[in-house]
Parts: sequence; structure tokens; C-alpha cells
Amino acid sequence: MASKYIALPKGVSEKDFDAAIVKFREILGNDSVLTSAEQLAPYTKTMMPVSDAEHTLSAALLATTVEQIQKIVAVCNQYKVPIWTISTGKNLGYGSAAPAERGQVVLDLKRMNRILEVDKDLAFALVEPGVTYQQLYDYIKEHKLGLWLSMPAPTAIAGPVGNTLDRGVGYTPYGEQFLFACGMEVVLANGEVLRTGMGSMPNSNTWQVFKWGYGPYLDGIFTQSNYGIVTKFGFWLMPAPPAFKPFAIQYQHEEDIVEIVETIRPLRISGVIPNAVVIAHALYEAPVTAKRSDYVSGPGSIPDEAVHRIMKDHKLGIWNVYAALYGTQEQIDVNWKIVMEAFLRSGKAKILTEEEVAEDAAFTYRAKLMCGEMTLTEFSLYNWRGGGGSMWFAPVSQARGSETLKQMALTKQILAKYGLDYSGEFIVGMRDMHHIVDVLYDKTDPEQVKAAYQCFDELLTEFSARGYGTYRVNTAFMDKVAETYGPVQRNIHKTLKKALDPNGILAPGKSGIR
Amino acid sequence: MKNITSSLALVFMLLAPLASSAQSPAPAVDETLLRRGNELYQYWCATCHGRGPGHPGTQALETRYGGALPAVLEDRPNLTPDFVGAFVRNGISIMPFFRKTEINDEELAAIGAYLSHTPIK
Repeated sequence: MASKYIALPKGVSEKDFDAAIVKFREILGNDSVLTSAEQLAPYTKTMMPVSDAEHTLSAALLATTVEQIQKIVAVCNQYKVPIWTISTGKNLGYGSAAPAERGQVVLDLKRMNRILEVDKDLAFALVEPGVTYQQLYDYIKEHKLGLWLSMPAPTAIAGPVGNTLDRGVGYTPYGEQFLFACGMEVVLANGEVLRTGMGSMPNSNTWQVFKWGYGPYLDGIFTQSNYGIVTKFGFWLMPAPPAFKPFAIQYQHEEDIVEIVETIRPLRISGVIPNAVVIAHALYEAPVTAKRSDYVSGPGSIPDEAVHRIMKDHKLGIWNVYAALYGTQEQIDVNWKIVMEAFLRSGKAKILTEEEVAEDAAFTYRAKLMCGEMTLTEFSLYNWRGGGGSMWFAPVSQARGSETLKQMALTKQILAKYGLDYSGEFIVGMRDMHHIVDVLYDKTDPEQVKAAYQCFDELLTEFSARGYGTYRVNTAFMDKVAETYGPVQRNIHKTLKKALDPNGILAPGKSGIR
Repeated sequence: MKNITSSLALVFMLLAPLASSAQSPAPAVDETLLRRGNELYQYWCATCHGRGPGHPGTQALETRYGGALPAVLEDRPNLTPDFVGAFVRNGISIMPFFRKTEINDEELAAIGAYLSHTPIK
């Protein structure tokens, strides 16, 4: 007999699932427990090169309070029903709103969207999981708080809780966002509510200003993990500086990445350039104004000759550095002189100020990202191939020129083997680089789907063989990446899981942890 | 569920000509609903579907229609609330879905009404 559900959790009988659904409805009300195919359709679309059926949920629970979540985990423990928690559900290119494994129940916290506190003087925020960057941005503007957000490129529709918990990065001086997290409230699998750091102490008013508390620091184990459900999240905001000077620097040859990184690293480590600088390849920026079909047709990756035509037509370098200076005008003037001297030394760099490229659409969105303004322009990348296929390949590199060149060349070579283009950028951390490559393909073309899957698998294999680890990955490849970090770390993750969630009800499979 | 993209393409083919050739008298205009729809459209949709460069949704529709239909949604003469609703809920190609926890049914109806009602745009 056909099931009344579009999927069932692994190992759970339909009878037990019926009973769990009845209890979920008692907790949340009928309208907040979704089980029909039509209701669940928005949770099933992913951009990964696997069948959406592999990530089809069985139900969605729309919770709004901590108390409801406590009751939900009790039901999950009783019936061994696994739940996959989402906040804004816009982890596009990493799995979107769909669960890691077929049949998991999605716990959708988008309606928990209260901005609980924004402190102007101490420059911090405390928010619930469903708050979007746009919502917080509007709140800060409305209340004239003079604070800036750091956020990833899909700014308006994503949110700080989900993005930071997945250790996403932004582009302001607060770009390594988890560094600026301060205090969480977490519902544990046993229903207890933990407030991390100073939040554990009754009557403390330092939860969002002192990160460490007393004893082992716990916040980290609730990121990229499945050890609890974060229901409140504190983080620091950047006071808007008196002046802001975004600029771009273009280089014409792929090997110039060595000079770029060697020039930027000391400026970044010393704080002359304080933000998470981006070094974007021409093919990362071109989609903002260029169409791939205007330059190449048929199968195969785009040839270098076509890339050079795009650069000429769209006024791009092969590498496009976007950085900014922040502070008083006097500070900026001094630092600008240092930056100019450093980059002009070899004669290869073309420095462009805001006044020179203010009308350029790519510069405009990059400048917005570097000062916490909302934009979705980077989604132009998805138009490059069309067809809705995207996976972010995200290995970490030392901030050393020779290393970035090696990573770029290896990535490009493997992508070309499968007929895919190198749409890559490096985001400069304090001493590392997040090498971010959008593996773009047409999900409506079965051949490209197959090629994209094999390509991504080979990228992970080849990079890990050289000691290059991936910092974040989509839900189809989590086990593979977890394996690359070795058995000892995997066992520790598993030990923690068994201790904190013995029935394995919280997001089994997240980061390869079960 | 099996193939949302194909289903939506079918919806598109069926609805587009029907909507553009509808002959029934225009219903009474609910100005409050349209204003609400406009606000919601600007909040949720315009960052991708706005006018000018830097809007990926508009860029995608330029490619899809090749000038046969306006790429800016607010300029489209043939949209209906059902048509808008199907794409918002399910997404298509590069466009992500939007769940009812993001845009509830009432808000979606307002967006649909706004985009279906040419005169006040």
C-alpha cells in the first residue's frame, strides 16, 4: 500500500510516524505540521547534482518558541524521528532547505524571527534563527543605530544565525563571522536549554560581551554540527566608520595571483587593509554583465582566449581585487598611501578608485558587501550556465602566493577535464584564504549533472591528497569531507554525538556525524 | 514532486496565453492589497527582479525571453496570481523557492495581485 507520506525517516515505521505526527500537531497545531507533497515542495529543491529524491523530507514542523522545540525533541526521542533544523533555509549551493538524508523531518525556524536586542553602545545583537540580514539591516536603519552587518553574498534572504553556524564568511573587517559570535542559547537533545559562556550564570549582563565564560568554551561545538538546536544567537556588529574607501585592483595574468597575495598578506596581517579582501577571477565577476553564450557554445570549458575577450569587453582583470579602507579620513589617507606604494611597485597593478568605477555593476555590489549593504547581485553567477546547478567548492589555502597559484591551477585543470569553467575567488582571512569556487552546471542536462558530481568528487579527492582541507561543503558530500580529516577527529565527533544525542535525533549526517 | 521544473514549464505554457488573452471584465481594484503587494515585492523580489544591471532574476528572464516578453516582472502584462504563486513556492532553474514561513499565503496573494495588475505599477 502506498504511504500517505512522500518519504519516511529511515528505520521508522509508518505507524510510529503517524503517532509522532499526531503529537507534533498537538504541540504546533495542524497548520504548522506540513506533510503533503504540495506543502513540502519548497523544501525539496536543491542545486546539487543528485536526485532531489535523496534529500526529500517526510514532514516540516513550523515552530515558533523554545518550549515547542523542547516538546518536539521529546517526541523525536520517543519515536526515534530525526529532525533537520533550518533557519532561513537559504544555504543555496550547500543543500538549500532540504535535509541531509531522505525522510528526515525539517524543523523550520524561520518564524522564530525576533530581534531580541541590539545594543548601540556595546555594538552587539541578539537574534532568533529566522531573522534575515535584510530584517536586521532595516531595524538598524530605522533605529539609527549606526552599526554595520557582515554577511555573505546572498545578503537579503539569508540570516546571521544559519550563516554563522555554518561558518560562512563576509567581506567587512568582521568578515570571519564566527570570530565575532558571542553567546548562544541551545536546546539540547534531552530538552534542556543551555546558554553558553556568561549566559549560564543567572542575572549576568555580559552574555553578549564576553565570549569565554568559565571552563571549556562550548560555542564551537554547536557550529557545523548536530549537537543542539540554536535558538538565540549573539554577535558583535561593527560601528559604522566615519569614512569608507572601497577600491579595486586589476591584474592581467593568472600567475599574478602570486604577487597579489604576497602584497596583500602583510597589509592584511598588520591591519592596514582590515577587511576580508576578495581576489576574484574574471569568470567570477563576468556573469554580472556578460553572457557565456556570447563567447562560447557547445560542450567543454570556456577557452582562455574567450576569457580574454570577456576581460576586454567588460573591463575586467583576470584577477580583480576588491578591498576597502575604514576609519577617519586622516587614517584612510595615510593607509591609502601605503596601499598605493605596495601595489604600484611592480608596475603590473591597475588601481581603480570608487570615483573611476562607480558605475560598474560588479564594483557596485562588491562595495556594498564591504560595507554591509544588501545586494543579491552575486547570484548572477547562476546565470552563467543556467539550469540551476551549483556547488561551492571551498578549500582553505595559506595566504601565500605560491599556494594560491597551485590551488587555482589544480582546480582549473580538474574542472576542464569535466567541461566546467573556473569561477573562483579567494577571500583573504587573517592568515588563510578561503578559496571559493562555484562549480556551475545545468541541472536539466543529465550529462552535466553526471560530470559535475564526478568533478566535485575528484576535486575533494585530489585536494585532500595534497593536504588541502575543505572548510564547508554541501549535504551530498559531507561524509566524504569528514573522512578527509582522519579517524581520530571523526571518532571524537561521534563520541560527542553519542553523549549529547544518544538517540541520534538531531540532523544525523551533518558534517558526517551520526 | 517528480519533476517540478517540467511541471512549472507546463504551467507557464498554459497560463501565459490564457492570461494575456483573458476577456472577462476587470475585477474591482483593491488598492490596499496592491499597495501591500508592492511593498512585499520590493522587500522580497526586487533585489533579484529589479530594473537595471545587477539583478540576476531580470538577467535570467532577459535570456529566457530574448525580448519577446519584458524581463522586469513589474512590466509583464500577462502575470496571474496563480502563476506568480507557483514560481515563488517552487522556484525554477536558478530561482530559489520561498516557503510559507518566509512569505505566507496572504502575502503571496498580495504580491500576485500586484504583479497581475498593470495600471498602478
